Amino acid sequence: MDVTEELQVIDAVLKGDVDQFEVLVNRYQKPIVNFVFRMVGNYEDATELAQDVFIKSYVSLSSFNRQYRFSTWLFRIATNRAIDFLRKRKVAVVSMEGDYEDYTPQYESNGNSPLETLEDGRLKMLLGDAIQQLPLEYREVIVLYHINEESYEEISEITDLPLGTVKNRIFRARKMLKKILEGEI
Amino acid sequence: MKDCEGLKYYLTDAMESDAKKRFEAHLTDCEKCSDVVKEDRTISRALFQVPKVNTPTRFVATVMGPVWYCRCAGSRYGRRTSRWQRAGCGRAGHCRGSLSGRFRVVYLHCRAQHFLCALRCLAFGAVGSSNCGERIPGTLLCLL
Repeated sequence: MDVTEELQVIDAVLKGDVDQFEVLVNRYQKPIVNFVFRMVGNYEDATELAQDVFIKSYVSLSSFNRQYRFSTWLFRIATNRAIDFLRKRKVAVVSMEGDYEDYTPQYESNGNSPLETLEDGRLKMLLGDAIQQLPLEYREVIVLYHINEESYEEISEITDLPLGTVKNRIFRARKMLKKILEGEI
Repeated sequence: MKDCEGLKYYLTDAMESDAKKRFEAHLTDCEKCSDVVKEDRTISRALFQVPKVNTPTRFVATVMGPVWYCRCAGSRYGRRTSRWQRAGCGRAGHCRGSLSGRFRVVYLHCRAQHFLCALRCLAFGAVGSSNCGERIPGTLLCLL
């Protein structure tokens, strides 16, 4: 679906065709859930927050500014919602021994052998934990760039930061991750 | 020991293509810069490989339930949703049970309300300008 088609869907929703909103939810559910999951570190909270993000976007759809892409706007809502949630939870830093009782996300299969999967799983866990230890402003950009694979320009629009600051934060976040993961990778 | 000039700009992707080429040539001579770049690339590659999680199977339904509710009730989302999540929507007989259960009840309630709108519209001949703003054929489809 290109930008024009997306705008047509948005117009249809605004005219009262609620079912068309499902098209947008279907398209963006995965990126938004993944983004929020890596921001808050808990799958259950992430899915609830992601639901909230979509409902909020539906209610505020009339205020959507067409000069941005819908995804940019959606990620902006998701960022604000995740940061708001984390601030309320007052968890700035999560320990490496964080609780994983309700952390049961289903990962995409990558077709690796069991041994590779085991090694990959360890790396996955280490990186997931390491991302959780980053300060929010660094976590936000590193997740958008590396997990959601957004461009620097799009991240700049989502976060409302200058392009140079975005690049610098991503670099500094990787540097912090390197320190956290020293000797593991 | 101080980093070579340009290393930071190279790693933050802030170099013009000519300067980038010059720095890449420098990398073949400078072991220190080369190691720093290599480490950064390793972290970068590993981060791109962090697997994506799947969304729950009923995710779309749990979003569309409240969306339909907002549409039919003609209400603003506001605080109502957070109340759903904490203790139900506050309406007697609705929004009880688990999260998905609550949303399911809201969704069904919403569709029932839609049906009432349709009947009202038909009774008063207000086709196309019902209170809920829904076109009648679409409204009747809610029954299915």
